[in-house]
Amino acid sequence: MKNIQSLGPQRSLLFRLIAFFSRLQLGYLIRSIGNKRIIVVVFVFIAGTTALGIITVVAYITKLPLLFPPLGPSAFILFHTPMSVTASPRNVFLSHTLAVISGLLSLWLVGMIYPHGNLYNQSEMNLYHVIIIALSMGLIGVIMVSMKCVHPPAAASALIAAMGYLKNSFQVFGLIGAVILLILEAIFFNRIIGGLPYPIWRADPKTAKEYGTLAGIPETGTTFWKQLTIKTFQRR
Amino acid sequence: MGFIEKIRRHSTIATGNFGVMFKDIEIPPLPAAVNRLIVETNKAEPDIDNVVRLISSTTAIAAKVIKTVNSSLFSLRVPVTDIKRAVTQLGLNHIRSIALAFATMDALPKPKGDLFDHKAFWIDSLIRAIMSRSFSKKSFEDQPEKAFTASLLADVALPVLLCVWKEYYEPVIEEWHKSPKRLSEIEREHFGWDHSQAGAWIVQSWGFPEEMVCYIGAHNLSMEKIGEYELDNTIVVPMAVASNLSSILRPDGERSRRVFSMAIQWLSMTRLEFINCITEVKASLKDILELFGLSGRNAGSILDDLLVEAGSEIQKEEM
Repeated sequence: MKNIQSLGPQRSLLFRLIAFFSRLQLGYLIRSIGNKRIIVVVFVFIAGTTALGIITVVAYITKLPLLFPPLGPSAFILFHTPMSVTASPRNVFLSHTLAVISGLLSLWLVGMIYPHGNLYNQSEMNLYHVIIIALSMGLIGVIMVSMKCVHPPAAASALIAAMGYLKNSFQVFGLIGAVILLILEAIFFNRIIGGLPYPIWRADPKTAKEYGTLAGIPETGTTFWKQLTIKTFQRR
Repeated sequence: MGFIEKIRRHSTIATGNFGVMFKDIEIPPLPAAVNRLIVETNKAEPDIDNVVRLISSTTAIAAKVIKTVNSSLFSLRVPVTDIKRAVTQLGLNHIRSIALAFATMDALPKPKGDLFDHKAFWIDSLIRAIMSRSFSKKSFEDQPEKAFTASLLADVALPVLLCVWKEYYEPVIEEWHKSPKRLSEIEREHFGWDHSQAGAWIVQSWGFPEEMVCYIGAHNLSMEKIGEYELDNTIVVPMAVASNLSSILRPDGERSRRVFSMAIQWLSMTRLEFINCITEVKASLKDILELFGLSGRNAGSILDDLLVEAGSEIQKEEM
């Protein structure tokens, strides 16, 4: 009887097991099944629910300030268009971190100029708040574009910081910690469950291009040959 | 190899994720001049001077073009020595086929070991390509060169897979050598994909048009599947018929019969037309193999088998 070696690794039990699970991954199903939308819907639901669920549970157990509104839109982008440049760990981490810094910087700067502005009172809206919010938004926009780390939900982090919701370093690090946790979850879900070459840090635009809507590239008019090319690479 | 790496490789093969499969290796790029030449000759109004310039910039291709135009295939009375005249004589489609064939042959890796015979592989590819071209002349008279190119590139993935995914792919080739099944059937049983899909991916990465990618990806499908893909009125049909031809290393009478019956049924050829086609292929084969430096093998014997097959069918009918 031939041994496994001469039959090839594809005859081993491990290969069959891995083949079975790999063929349930998002990346494979999207290439193999016609109705992509339903697969993406299911993936976004499962990954989004689990990711935010885990952060909430961690926050509940550890009593750490990990829950911030910008996490929601970030999670949506990370699981809906995981192959896009805006969903790369680099963009998510840098944009949120720089957003918090720009919000706090705006707050500090205006506080220095107008020391009696009552800036930490969120219930009272005054001219100083207007300046801080506008400045933080402008700053984070400039920073994200110039540093090529665009991730739109980060603008909300800048506003949170600018409006004085982050009152101490514990909360600041809580927000950044939550972002890191979300990125780790995205790496797990997109790479292991999704079977996608989700980047560990920086996105590769060349790879992203191959993933169409998963990279946030809208579907344009599909020609006969384009459709057939997609079919060419499906399972036979 | 670590356990995680093993899992990653198993998963990549099992899902036929060619982007990842060929990511870690450099798919040999076509020489830049050849790429530009293909782009130029594909234009609606190609610039002949630019084509001449591009050919002249690659000495090896220029030499082959001159050799081709002066070969007995064209039987010119006065030998051609300059590229511009050679281009005019051969035509742009022919130039494209020559350039591509030479470039591909140079670009692809040569797997080590007894399982892969580099020379036989290219002879098989060339015979199928010439056959596709000849079969296409009847129903697709403006596309025989396209059929030649697509058939020539149809199996490009084989040497690449044997080099990069050797431990998975060698058992497939071994099984194929011992089995009457087609290679693509065995590949699908093992992996769920076949080398035509991998080849289509490589050709796509070389920047070929989607149409060509589809032709290559479908060349070994059954006629029912080709119909399902709505390709039954394209050069995929002659390509599919030619792809059934057995290798020069393993002549197979059953496959010769299959090629003959498929040509009659799917290409609506008469027996006489089929014989004429194969005779034409045989006549040009020697020169083409010589041109590509592949002479020295008894490549014509499988074409003789086809002629014998067609002859015996005619005899049966007459009786």
